[in-house]
Amino acid sequence: MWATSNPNLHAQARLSFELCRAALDLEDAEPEFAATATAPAAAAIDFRAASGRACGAGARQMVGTLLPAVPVAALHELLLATARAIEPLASTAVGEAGEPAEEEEDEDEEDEASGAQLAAVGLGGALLNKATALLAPPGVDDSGRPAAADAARGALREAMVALLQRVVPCATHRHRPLCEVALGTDFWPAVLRAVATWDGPPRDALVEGAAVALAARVSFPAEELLASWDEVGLEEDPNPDLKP
Amino acid sequence: MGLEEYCEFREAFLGVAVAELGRQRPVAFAAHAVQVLGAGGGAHEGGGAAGGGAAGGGSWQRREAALFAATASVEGLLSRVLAPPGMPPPAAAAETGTLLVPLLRAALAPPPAAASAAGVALLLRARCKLVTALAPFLAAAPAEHGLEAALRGVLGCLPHAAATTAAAALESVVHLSRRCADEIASSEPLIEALLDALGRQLADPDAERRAALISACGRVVACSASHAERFVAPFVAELQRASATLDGAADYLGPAYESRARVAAQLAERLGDATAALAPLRPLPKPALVAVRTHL
Repeated sequence: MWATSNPNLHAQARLSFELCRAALDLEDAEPEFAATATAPAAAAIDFRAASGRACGAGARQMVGTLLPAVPVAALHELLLATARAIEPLASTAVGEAGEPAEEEEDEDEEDEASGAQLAAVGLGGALLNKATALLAPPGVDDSGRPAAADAARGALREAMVALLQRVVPCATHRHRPLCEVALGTDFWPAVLRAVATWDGPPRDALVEGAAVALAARVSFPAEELLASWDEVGLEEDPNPDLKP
Repeated sequence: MGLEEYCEFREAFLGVAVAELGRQRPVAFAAHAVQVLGAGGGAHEGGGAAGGGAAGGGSWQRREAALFAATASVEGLLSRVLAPPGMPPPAAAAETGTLLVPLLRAALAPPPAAASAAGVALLLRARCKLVTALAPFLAAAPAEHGLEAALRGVLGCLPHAAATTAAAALESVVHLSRRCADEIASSEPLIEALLDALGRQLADPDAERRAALISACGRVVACSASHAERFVAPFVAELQRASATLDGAADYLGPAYESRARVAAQLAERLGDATAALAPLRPLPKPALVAVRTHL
């Protein structure tokens, strides 16, 4: 959608994302609990179970929240559309040399296209935050057996995982405003709680991938860009005792 | 964009995310830092989690970033190393704790010779931030964990030309004076090093910075009565000198109000320094306080 040069389309997209996010902010979220005494893959409970519902023996732990009043079809479409909108940004999160670097702000930063991008990422982060429990594995019933097939839950989970895979790169994007918007939604605590219920390899891949990207993103930019910053004194010779 | 703005963004957004991930992978960022800084050879289990493979050295940006990430995530690591008061150490605390000593040692190593002045300043800033974050660890076992090296490492950064580095060093000294006052006071070389650094920084024109350092030293001296007189003496001497100058100003400066106002302002600054020095000394035993009072 970003390929178009029509500013009206960007403005409409931005407005849509912002309105959706505002609506989400007003939407009640419902906590979902999982038993922690069983294996993680079997820990999640049925889709949209009532808060506090018993789910087998052992301690219970909140794995995230759901949006009980949002129609399943609408939520599914929203997740897919947001993920699609974010996809081009996720692919540009890392620079050509493979190192995310602080990107200088473009002059047209505030134009409608980038405004729509920021709004999409903000909505993506908000969806991750409010519907995190969808990331938990398919539910089991009270006896620990797999719950009756729930196609809607499965499709929502797939869409949610796709959205997660696109928002995470934006959270370390070299373009700082994008990074700020993604991290400003504070999706990590909720996502990590839900992801803790995943089997080892996918969970480790997500967490370790994010850790590697963050470890690279926190670095200062190259000397040339750093020299253009307005810091007084940084370029002065330090105390000779401190310079080897 | 400026340095301060970037640092604020990094701490408020990226640092919080690092801390969150650090709770899931407590040793990942610290092990990565040890690996990048070349101090541990990546020997610790889990060292590759945030590492991306390469070990040792790298650009100063990479080293600084590794230190930043380790600092941002260290709280989660400390909760697995340090026992709450009256509680036994957490399981595997000793094993996890072994990572922090090489991390600190790596942070205290001199910056690479190839680093630019800005790189050196920012690496030293990162060192000070790490020492601040590790204060509870240093207080838990000062000798084993390297309190002396850590304190000397940040004291050396106090006079740094880059304001951001000097500020981080001051914050670190203040923090150590709160968390490790007894431990510093019980070591003659350490308290001497602290008072020597104070002596060098008394010429700092920033009254607020000066007062913060004086108070930090006062907190330590309050745990060591034998150093109270040495600590107080320079402030009393400065106070007497400023007071005498003001007395004399009435004679030789004539009616020049601005000159007298300047002298009065100097006296006010000296009074501020003396107050910052004396206020933390209240816990001293009475004989030590009496000895201090004889100087006034």
